[in-house]
This record gives sequence, structure tokens and C-alpha cells, in this order.
Amino acid sequence: MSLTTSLYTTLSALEADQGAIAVTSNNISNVNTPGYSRQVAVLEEAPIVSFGNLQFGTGVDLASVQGVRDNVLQLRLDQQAQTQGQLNTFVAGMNEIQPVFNEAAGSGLESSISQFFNSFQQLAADPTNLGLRQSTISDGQTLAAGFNQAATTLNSQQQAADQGVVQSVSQINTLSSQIASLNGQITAATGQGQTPNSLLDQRALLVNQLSGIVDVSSITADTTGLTLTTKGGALLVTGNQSFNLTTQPNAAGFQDVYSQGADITASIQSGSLAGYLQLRDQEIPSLSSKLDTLASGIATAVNTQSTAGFDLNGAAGGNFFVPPAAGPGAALNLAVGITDPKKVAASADGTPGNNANATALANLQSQSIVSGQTPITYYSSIVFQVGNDTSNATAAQSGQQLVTQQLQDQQGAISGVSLDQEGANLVLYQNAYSAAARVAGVIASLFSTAINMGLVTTA
Amino acid sequence: MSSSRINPNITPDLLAGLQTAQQQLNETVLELSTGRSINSPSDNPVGTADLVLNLSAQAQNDSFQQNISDLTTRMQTADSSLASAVNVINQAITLGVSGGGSDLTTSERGSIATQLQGIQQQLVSIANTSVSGTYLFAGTLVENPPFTLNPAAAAGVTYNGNSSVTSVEIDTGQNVNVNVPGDQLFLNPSGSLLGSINQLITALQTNTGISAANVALGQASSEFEAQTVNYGTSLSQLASTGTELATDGVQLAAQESAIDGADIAQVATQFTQANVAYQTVLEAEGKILSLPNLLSFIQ
Repeated sequence: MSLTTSLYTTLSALEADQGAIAVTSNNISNVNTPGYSRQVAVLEEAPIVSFGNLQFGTGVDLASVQGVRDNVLQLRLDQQAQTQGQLNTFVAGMNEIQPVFNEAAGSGLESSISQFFNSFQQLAADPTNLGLRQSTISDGQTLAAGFNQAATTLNSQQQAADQGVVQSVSQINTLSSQIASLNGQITAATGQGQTPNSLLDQRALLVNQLSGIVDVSSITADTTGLTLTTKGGALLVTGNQSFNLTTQPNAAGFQDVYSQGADITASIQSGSLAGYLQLRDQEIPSLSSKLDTLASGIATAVNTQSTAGFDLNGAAGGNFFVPPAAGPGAALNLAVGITDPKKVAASADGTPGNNANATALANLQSQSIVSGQTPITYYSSIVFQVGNDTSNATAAQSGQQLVTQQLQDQQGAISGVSLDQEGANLVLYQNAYSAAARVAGVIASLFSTAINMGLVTTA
Repeated sequence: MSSSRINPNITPDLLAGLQTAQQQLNETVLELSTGRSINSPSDNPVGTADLVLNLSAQAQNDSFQQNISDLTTRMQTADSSLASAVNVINQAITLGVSGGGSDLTTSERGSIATQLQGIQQQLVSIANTSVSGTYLFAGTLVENPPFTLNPAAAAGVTYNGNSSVTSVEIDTGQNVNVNVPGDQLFLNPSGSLLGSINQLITALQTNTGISAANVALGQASSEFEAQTVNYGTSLSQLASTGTELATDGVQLAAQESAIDGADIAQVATQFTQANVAYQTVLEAEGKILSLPNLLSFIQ
């Protein structure tokens, strides 16, 4: 063993400690970086050398810099992001729809429906009163306007959800292509025996973002990196290649989602894209259809009763509402068909003072004229649906938030940078570095001693 | 020796805690400011559906009460018109009795007959009473005066109305008759008021059958008063139903309050608690976030 060997041993310590300090300082620098996993300097004992039957260590190696991450936990976080993304989108959409049916704040259709039928009740008490006749028409117009407004709001929310679908698809494509590009870089680096921690972190972050939008399934293969598909099997990323999703209008004029020519709209189960689809294709159509049934039920029953009576001129009564067309649009297009108050068919026998038809019109409100229910009972079931669906989704959202928070805590416990820990490491590596430097100094003085050995100094 | 690592980044958890505290505070503030426990359907879906039914029932109750108020005014007008008719009829009876006196001259009888013609006109005028263009004693032909003087007719008048009785629903399933047709009041077959007046005028003018005419007038007067009782009956029915509706209205309002009314005392307490909780979380988190770490002490 020579002093030179000892010097190199010390040098390895200086290098390893410098590297470890670099890792620590990088950790501290990234303490607030989203998606960053803390890194650990892996120190290993250097190979030994043998002299005769003696073995000597040759110092320390900085073997690798490892990112500390739990892939299984990351997978759970991604799945959680999918559920969370769907609920967030759905709840936000429902919160836009709720005001249309907010009876507690007086902004629903209840008062218009009740007022409309009660105006016939009032007319029955004084059937020739033109003011009361006019009231039935203007209350009918208010009711029609209420239905129009509600249907318009639902339609525009449906349009907004459709926009959301298109934007989600565009975000998915952007993220897929970024992930594919990272995949390529990661594969290349891995091929050269490197551990590309920062690329892996970036990719995990992007996959998590993608999971918030669509139901991603991931498969990791050593040769190609990460392969991503939707749960339904549509390929998004494989190796350094990404596959764009596209949108095409369907029969209803809304954009369906396509993957390589196949319509995958129905197979998307979670993520915000699923939330938009749920709003656009299920919740809003269901509410719109019920609103149409209600509008159509009221208009048809009122028209039938009107035509059974007589107006103030003694002529046979006509339709009160413009007869609603079959199919969707009854609520959107509901309109009163008469403007002359004398045309209101209050009489059952053609005499002006007869009120029997007005009474019959008023009493429609307590008859099963809408899908076997009274108009108000049917309407209350719509309000219940809106409230219940929002409430259930909101409760699920809160629950999922807690789960996400817990998983993030677990992930933070594994991968988060602790300034205390880094501080301790810093002191540790600083001390080791100082000690090694001190050893180097001692070796230097030994060299000097050896070099000067046997040298005769003249006095 | 190793202990399990804890999440070093507690900021998200702190913010979540702060958000929860703030949300609770906001909810209590909303309940306090609106006075309602339901501020959107999702707050209580079942309650909101019940609220729809309750509000509708209240609106119908209000409508019935409004009807009762309007009908009461109109029927009181009819009732007081008919009461004034009774006075006029009594004058006619007195005149008829005095016209039957054997010592009267033809001209005196003629003069009484003339007075009775005046009474006949008054009665026709009463029978044509209208409110806002609606004739009260015309059956359902309410747009035109039901009675016109017609000397050629047996009763001295022509009735242009019909015999229809109008019934108005004043509470669910409960109806009240709001008119007695003019022919039933003034031309009743059991005692025709206008017919007997006309009969008396003719009897006085011809000096024949005066006493028979007086008997007929007496009968007609009784019949008329019997018919006017219908208005009193309907008015009392309106009054009692109106009281019931008012009571129902109070109950419905109480139900509404039970469904969506905020318990102010309770919410105020919750507000105070939420406020204290929020302040406490703020204070605690402020301290936690400004805690030093090991690096703060390394020289």
C-alpha cells in the first residue's frame, strides 16, 4: 500500500461527498417543484485491493442517484385523479343547472305553473272580466317564457359540455404527445444505463394530469417505455409514438370521440371527459326530456279542455297554447296561441257568464295530465332529480377528495423533500468532506516527510 | 433504527383544513342571511321537492282566498240590492191594500196605479243591477240587462237572461252558488213578483180583481224573500270557507318554514363555532408555516 493509494482513496471520498452534496442541494432546490421525487445519493464501498494476504479498501463510490418513488401508489393516485376529474366536472356542471330549479330562492317554475292554473280559478269567479281573461293569457306567457328559459339554459349547458369534450380531447392529445416524447428520451437514457429521474418525474406528472381528463390504463415495458390506453382499450401512447383522439359530430350535432376511426365515446368511464359526456349525453337530455314532457303535458291538456269550451263570443274554443310538436323542443318552443282575451274559453255552454270550462281548466292542476302525475308533482320530481344527482355527486366528490389527500400524504411521505432531512444530510456530507480533506492534508505532510527523509541540512 | 417517514409538505393539508373551515363558515353565513336551510336543491333534495308541493298548495290557497274576497264583495252588492227591493215591495203592498179600499175614486186608483208603475220601474232597475258590467241577476247571460219593460207581456217585462246558476269552486272540491237567476227571483212560478205588481196595476186601472192581485203580491213577496235567503247562505258559506282557508294557509306557511326554515338560534351558534374554528385554524396554520427547520440552525 502506498501513500498514493491512500490519497486516491481520500479523493474518492471527496468526490463522493461532493456528489452527495450536489444531490442534497438539488433536493433543496426542488422542495416546491410539483411532481418532484426526492433523490438519494447511493454510496457504495469501492472495490478492495489485495496485497499478499492483506486486503485494503479503496474508498467510496457514488454508485447512483436514485429517485424515491412508489409506482403502485402513483398508479392509485392516477386512478383517483380519474374519478376526481369526472366528479369535479359533473358537479360544476350541475351547479350551473341548479339555479334553473332553485325553488327555495324562488327561481324555479313552480310559481309560474301554479299562477297559470290559479288565473283560471280567478277567472271562474268572474268569467266575463276582461282583465282576468288577460291575466290567464299573460300568466300563460310567463309560464311559456319560464319553460323557454329553462330549456335554453339546459341547451347552453349541453353546448358547454360539448365544448368541454372537444377541449378535453385536445388536452389529451397534447399530453399524449408530451408523454410519448418523454418516453423516447427515457428509453434512450435507460439504454445508456442512466436513471433519468427528472424525466421520470415529469412523465409521472403528465400521466397524472392525463388521468384527470380520461380513464388511462398504463403498461410499462422495458423496451418501449410506457404504453397508455384508455380503459376501453383505445391506444394513446406507445413508446415514443402518440395517437391523437379526434372528434366528429354525431346525429344530434354533438362531438363524439374517435380513436383511429372507431367511436369510443360510450367506453369512456372516468376523467373530466367522462364528466362532460355524462352531463351532455345523460343528465341534461334526461332533464330536457322531462321538461318537454311537462310542457307538452300541460299544453296538450289545456288545449283539449279549451277546445271543449266556448269563448266570450260564444264561439267554440280554440287552442290556448300553440300545439307542441312531437319529440324534443316542447319546452323550448312553448308559446301561447291567443292574444285576444275574449278567446279564452271559460264557458262550457257558450253563455258568457258560464264558468264551468274555466273551472275545468283550473282543475287540470290537480289531475294526472303529465305521465300519470299532476303537473306540480311531476315538476317536483324533476327538482328532486337535479338536487339528488348534485347532492350525491358532491358527497362522492368530498369523499374522493379525502382519499386523494390521503394518497398524496402517503406519496409525500415517500417522495417529498424534507428540509430537515436534507439539512442533516448536508451536515453529514460536509463533515465527511472536511474529514477527507483533512486526511489528504495529512497524507501531503507524510509525502513531504518521506521526500525529505535522509536529507542532510547544513548548518 | 428507523421510523416511518411523514409527509414533509403539509401545506396542501393545511389549505384543505382552512378550506373546510371556511366552507362551514360560508354555509352558516348563507343560512343566516337567507333565513333558509335550503339554498339550492342539492342542500336537501327531498325537502326541495316537498317545498315545490307546499308552495303550489299555498298559491292555490291564496287564489281561493282571493276568489272568496271578490265573490263576497259581489254577493254583498247583490244581497243589499235585494234588501232594498224588499223595502220597495213593502211600499207596493201598502199601496195595494190602500188601492183596494171601496171608497176610492177611479182617479185615486189611477194615481195609485201610477205610483205602482214607478215601483215596477224601480224593481226592474234593481233586477238589472250590475257590477263592472256584469249583470247580477241574468243567469249566465251577464252581459246585457236581463229585464226590459214590456207592457204587452203578462208580467209587464221581458226576461232576457237564462235560468243558469253559476257555481264557483272556493276550496278543493267545495263549490258555492254565486247567483240566483233573475227569473227565479222576480218571475218565480210560485209567486212572480214583477207579474203580481203588473197584475195589481192592471187591477187598479180596471178596478177588477184588486184583492186577488193583493193576495198574489203577498205570495210573490214571500217567495222573493225566500229566494234572497240563498245569497245569505252563500255569503255565510264564503265566510266559513274563508276562515278555513286562512287557517290552512297558516299551517302551510308553518310547513314551509319546517321544510326550509333555518333554525336561527342553532345556525347562529354554528356560525359562532365556525368562526372560532376558522380563526383558530388560521392562527395555528400561521404558526406552523412559520416554523423553522433544521437548515435554519446550520451555521
